[in-house]
Amino acid sequence: MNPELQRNLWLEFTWSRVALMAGVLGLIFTLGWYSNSPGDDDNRIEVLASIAEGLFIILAVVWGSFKAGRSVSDEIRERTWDTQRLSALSPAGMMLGKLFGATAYVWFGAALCLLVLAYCVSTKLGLAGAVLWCGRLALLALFAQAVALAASLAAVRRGRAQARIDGFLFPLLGAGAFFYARGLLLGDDSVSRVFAGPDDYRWAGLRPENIEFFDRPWPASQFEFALLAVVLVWALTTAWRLMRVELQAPANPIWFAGFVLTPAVIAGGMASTPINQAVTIYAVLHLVALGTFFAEPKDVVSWRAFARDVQTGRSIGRRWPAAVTALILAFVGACLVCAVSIANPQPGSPDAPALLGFAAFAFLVREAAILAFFHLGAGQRRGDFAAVVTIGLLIYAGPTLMEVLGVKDAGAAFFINPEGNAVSHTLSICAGLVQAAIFGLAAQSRWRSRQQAVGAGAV
Amino acid sequence: MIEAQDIIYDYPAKRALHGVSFIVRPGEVTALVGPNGAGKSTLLRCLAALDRPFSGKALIDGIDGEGDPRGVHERIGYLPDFFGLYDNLSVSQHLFYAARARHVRAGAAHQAVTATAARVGISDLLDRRAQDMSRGQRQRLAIGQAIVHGPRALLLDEPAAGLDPDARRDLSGLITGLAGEGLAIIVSSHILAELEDYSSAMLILREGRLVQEALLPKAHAGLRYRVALLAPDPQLAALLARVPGLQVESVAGENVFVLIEGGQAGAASVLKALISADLNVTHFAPAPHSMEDRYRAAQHQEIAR
Repeated sequence: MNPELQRNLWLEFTWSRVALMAGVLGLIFTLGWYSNSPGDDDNRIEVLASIAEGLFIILAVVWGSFKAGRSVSDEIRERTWDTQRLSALSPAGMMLGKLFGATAYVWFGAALCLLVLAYCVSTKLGLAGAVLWCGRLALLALFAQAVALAASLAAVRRGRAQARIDGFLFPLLGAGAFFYARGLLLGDDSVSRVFAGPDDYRWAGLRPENIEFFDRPWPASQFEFALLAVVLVWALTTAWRLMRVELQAPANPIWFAGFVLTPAVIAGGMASTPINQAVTIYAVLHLVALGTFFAEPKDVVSWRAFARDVQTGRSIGRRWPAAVTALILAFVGACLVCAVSIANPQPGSPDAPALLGFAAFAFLVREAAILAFFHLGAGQRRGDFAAVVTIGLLIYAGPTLMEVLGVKDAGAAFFINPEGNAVSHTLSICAGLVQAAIFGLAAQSRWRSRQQAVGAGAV
Repeated sequence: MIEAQDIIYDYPAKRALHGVSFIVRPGEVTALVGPNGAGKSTLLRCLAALDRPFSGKALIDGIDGEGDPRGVHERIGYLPDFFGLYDNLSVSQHLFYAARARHVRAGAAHQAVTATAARVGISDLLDRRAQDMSRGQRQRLAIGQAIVHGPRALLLDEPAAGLDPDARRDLSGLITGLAGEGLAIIVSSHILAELEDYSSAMLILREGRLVQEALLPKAHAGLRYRVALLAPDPQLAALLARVPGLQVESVAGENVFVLIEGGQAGAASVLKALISADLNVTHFAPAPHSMEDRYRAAQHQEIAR
């Protein structure tokens, strides 16, 4: 058995806790059964199913995300994380041990709920349908927990997630991921719809329609399961990659590219026309890049080491910043928008969409330069805040000022106008790059000062 | 073998280690000493592949911690300044987990737990939870965790902090025994006296720089002697220089510190030579070089520079 899983099982399971969980759940189900519609077993089963589903979500999604998210931050707070990092377990072993170990007790309760739920659903859909239905729910909960663990590991890298209050963000994040994924995949598909009648129910092969993905029809049920598998693997891979970083394993930039491209392709595939697909892909790449700029630790020492590796030309991938990968992918996305736009000319303003991606990318480079500038300053901890305020001022105050001055169209110099024309996008590209250069040069000056300060200390 | 090759470690605004290099060979116990903030813990963390140096290499048995941190962890035992124990796990569970997490097979891990518990003196506490143990017992358990998988190198950060005199003596015996089995060991501590018993070399770290690396004479050999005369004698140094197997280390007034080869027999010959020369010897006894002396000497040298 995975030693990390075993250690968690030792900590999580005691006879008293097992009895408590079984007793409390048993009591709730019994009360739910006998307090509703005496003599009407169909109604009782429906109520019981709703109770079981609700309890499952509370246990596996909310509590499970809390436990998964806290599995690493608790170790840091209790000063046991260094001992864990000293183990010879692989990052995958450590990640899986934590994900399934920290949530083992929660899954025990959730499994009891699933058993009740499976019984209830089987009265409507048969055994196979019930297994599929409950299996999908379990995979969605696992997805939520994996997202919480990944978010926790990302926060740990920034020296966060150790305060108790931070732990309450993980259940929110997990529940958000669960309901978003469920909505994205299946719409509002709570268990009550199973009992609403076969005409209304669209699961277990009963859903007739196809799903359009990159303008091609795919059978709905299979597509939904495949998509669920993809997002689950994506979340697990993300948590694994972050665990690799935390355990000092050599980095590989390819995994981060996969992390960025997966949601971009999924979102793009759901859009309707080729140009919309390309723009959606770019939008996701842009947002993920922006998120990466903020989420990545602004480790000046790593930047220095990376700069040295680039100069010497060896082991560049070892300290490759994820933000650079994100920026490259966003540029590729902008090129994609341009290419698709040229291949599929739009009536009216044929050249506008072609420049849209590059205009947005210019501002993305500006945000990167602003973040670098503030994080190279003396007050590093406030770097994110200062950057957000500056970007906010540029985005909102800039266009407003232009409007007051009577040159509303010049607002494109501060923020992209999605409905703008070629002139507006060209202005965005030029202005964005100029602003990026200004902040970039200022950041370079601070970089040199820091280098000199460390260099003086090194003499 | 533990090898540091020009390790540089940077904090964002400060260089913590300035090109530190040294080697600790199998069977050697090296004391890592220095004031607070000298970089001792940072150096140990780099050697344990917990922190990545800006440049340079930390090698354990030839394995680079940057390229293969898991390989390093399999081969080292590391006792951090915090023990890293789980309050609700028992002694046997702690040791079993530590062994299994470093790739000891399940069957062998059970044997390793029993043997390690006996070695650190907590055999009778195997079922006790960590939260019910005293500080000294927790310290022993933490050391047990560091050695249960049979490491090739051991890094101990303040291992004797909080231990009572009996436990310190036991710890000293344990470290000497582990060195005898061929482990390369680094012990970091503020308390120089406790390092004296088992250290064979000393590294003095100050402000991230290695200011001295010295081999320590074995205490049991008793090679360093203090000779005192009734009054200073200008002939003494010249006379002693003629005695075979003897080297004058320093002369301070009527006190002369000498290094004698040949153990007790050599010492007897020297004493006989002194008496034969009709010198008024008032003191002739071993004066082992204390680590404190060396540490102070290094400090003075640095101030002089």
